[in-house]
Amino acid sequence: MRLEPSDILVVEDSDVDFLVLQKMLCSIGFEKDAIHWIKQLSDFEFSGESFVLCDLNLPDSNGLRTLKSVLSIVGFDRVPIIVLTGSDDEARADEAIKLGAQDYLVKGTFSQSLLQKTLAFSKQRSGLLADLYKQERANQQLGNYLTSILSTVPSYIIRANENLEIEYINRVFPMLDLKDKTILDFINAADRPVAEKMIRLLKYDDEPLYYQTEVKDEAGQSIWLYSRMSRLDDKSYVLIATDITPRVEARALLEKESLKSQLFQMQQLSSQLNPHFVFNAMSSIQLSILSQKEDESLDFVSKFSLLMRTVLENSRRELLTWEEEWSFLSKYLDIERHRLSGKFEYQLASSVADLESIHLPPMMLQPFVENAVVHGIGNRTDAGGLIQIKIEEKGERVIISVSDNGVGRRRANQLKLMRHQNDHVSRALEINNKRISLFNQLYQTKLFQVTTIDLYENGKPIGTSQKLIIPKKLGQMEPIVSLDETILKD
Amino acid sequence: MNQLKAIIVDDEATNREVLKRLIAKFCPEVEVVGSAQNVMEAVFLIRDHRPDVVFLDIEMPGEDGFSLFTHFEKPDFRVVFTTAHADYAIKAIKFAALDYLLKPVDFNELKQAVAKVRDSIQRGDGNNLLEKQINVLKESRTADNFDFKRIALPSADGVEFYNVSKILRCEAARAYSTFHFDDETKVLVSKPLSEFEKLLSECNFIRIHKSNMVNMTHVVKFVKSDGGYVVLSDGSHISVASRRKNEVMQILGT
Repeated sequence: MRLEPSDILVVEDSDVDFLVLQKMLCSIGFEKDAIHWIKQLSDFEFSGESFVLCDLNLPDSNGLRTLKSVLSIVGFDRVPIIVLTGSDDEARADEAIKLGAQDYLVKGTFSQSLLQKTLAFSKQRSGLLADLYKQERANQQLGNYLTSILSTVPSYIIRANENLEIEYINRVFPMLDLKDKTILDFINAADRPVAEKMIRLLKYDDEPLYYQTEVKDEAGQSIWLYSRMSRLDDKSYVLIATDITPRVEARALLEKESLKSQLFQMQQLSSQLNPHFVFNAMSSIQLSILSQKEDESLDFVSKFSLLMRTVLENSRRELLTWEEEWSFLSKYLDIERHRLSGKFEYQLASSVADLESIHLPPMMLQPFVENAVVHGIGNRTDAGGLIQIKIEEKGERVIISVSDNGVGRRRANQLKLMRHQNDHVSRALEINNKRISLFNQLYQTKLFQVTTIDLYENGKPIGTSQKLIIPKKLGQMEPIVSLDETILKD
Repeated sequence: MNQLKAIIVDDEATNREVLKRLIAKFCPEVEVVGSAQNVMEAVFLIRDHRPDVVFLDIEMPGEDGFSLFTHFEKPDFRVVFTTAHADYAIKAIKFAALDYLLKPVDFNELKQAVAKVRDSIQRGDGNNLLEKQINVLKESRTADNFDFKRIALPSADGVEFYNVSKILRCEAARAYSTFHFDDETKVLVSKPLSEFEKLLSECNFIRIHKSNMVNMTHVVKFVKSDGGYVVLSDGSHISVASRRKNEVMQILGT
């Protein structure tokens, strides 16, 4: 057996044993430079040699422990490790082979030819072993690959003719008699007109169509399919549909949970009155007391308590009736009017026939009203302020507008910058905007909306009008998740 | 001692009236000689009446309370700020060791504030002190925020001013706090550490232990061994409470 010239790592603490070995290795074709010598385990450094010859008993390690250390560095299936033992230690040599050494040589007893044969066979064996491992790994990868393919195997394979009528389905679909159905029954009703056009286009285009669709089974249960539709030949189509219902349901559940927690969070954030308002109101009460106006003080305390109570309760309510909302807003406006010594009046105008039926989320109008008072009226230098609250219906919607004849938005913003004012109001309005989009999701609608309009007369700003638009039938609408049921009733 | 002359500045009639009546009822030694509803009115009243003390609202339309001092570089009056709720403004006032009242005004606090004004007048704290305090206030004010560079610490005879960036750490000692500076000097202040905790947290200070609040910009490294400690720029080792470790490591990005 021939040995390719290569390099070899010898781990041997005895100088004499090494020199003998070196001589033998040279005579069977190793270059002297290619024989690397290490005397103790702590110096062990593997640099890709083709063989490792290793004495097990070293100054800093002995027995199988040495082999284990070497194996852990060199690896099992790459380089043959041949153990060098004393003549009295063949039992241990067997152990070494079980652990992963390729072969052993008993020191002082082996000939040049045995050394050569041992090295050559070791090389061959370790090569075979490496191939085996490689094969095993490949098998494992193939297994993983097959498993992953199996998990995406389509649930349904459907072939349809050029009239889109179903000619073949690989297994029973939990839907009524498929004979009367076309391939379009596997597409959302709403999407069918578009889908029909797309399918027609398929005649000229080889690109398959991918889409997600919801179909109903006999019991009316939703089945979500992820489908790939393509042209099979000139006269037929093939639809491959995977049932992804569990995935869609899990995602929907997750979205609901996230919506719920966002709504809850926003409601908590919106259920806070501006600390300025609260402290100013307290100062007003203080003044009434100091002026010994008993009736006024009592009236003020009542109004203020009602306001506070409503705010506390609001954080747990999903919807308020218009009556509840107005009772809250008018108390709020009364307190502000008192604080600003009657600098403004307010009016409510309604053109809604059935005002009692109107419902709205709590604390959505309050920031508008506060904005009108603080930034609109508050920045007016004279009396004569007017806040108009108008509630009107328009088709499916109710529009509630809060208009002021204050200084207008631009001026108010300038003043705000100059004053380093705490921006509770703008934060509240921001929260309002977020709530609007959450409510649209909650009621699966687009009817909720807020707008702000700058009012001008002859090019001069004469105030601001803010609008809250909500569905007229909000009280009867079914939210996709209910706050009442869960978190609010803690 | 003579009557103290006072001027009230507040944009809201209610607040002016409340303070006036509270003063009449609880501080008979103070005479309110006028009240103004904005800074310009206040400037004229102050020039006319030369008051001993001005009760000054911070949040007013147009110019806010702080801007009164653009008209008085060297004020010869004491000032007590009044505010309903203005977190940063209060911090700015505290950094300058100025006095303030929260609205609705508590009459006990009002009495104390008046007593402090009287003490300060009797001690003869010159205009220089107020000028310096006002300067601290002014320089903490950037275009749209507050940035605190100096802090006024109470001392035996008034207040002293220090650069916040030169403070290495504040050490608690019961009701006192010791401030350690980067030039190895120390200043003992007769206020508990908790008084400064919220304030200095604005300036990258963190209470890393019950007894120490350190300026994070002076922290050289965090060492995990020995229960965890930080090394400051002067080489001192300050141990970190175990529940603060994560926070400290996060800030240091280790």
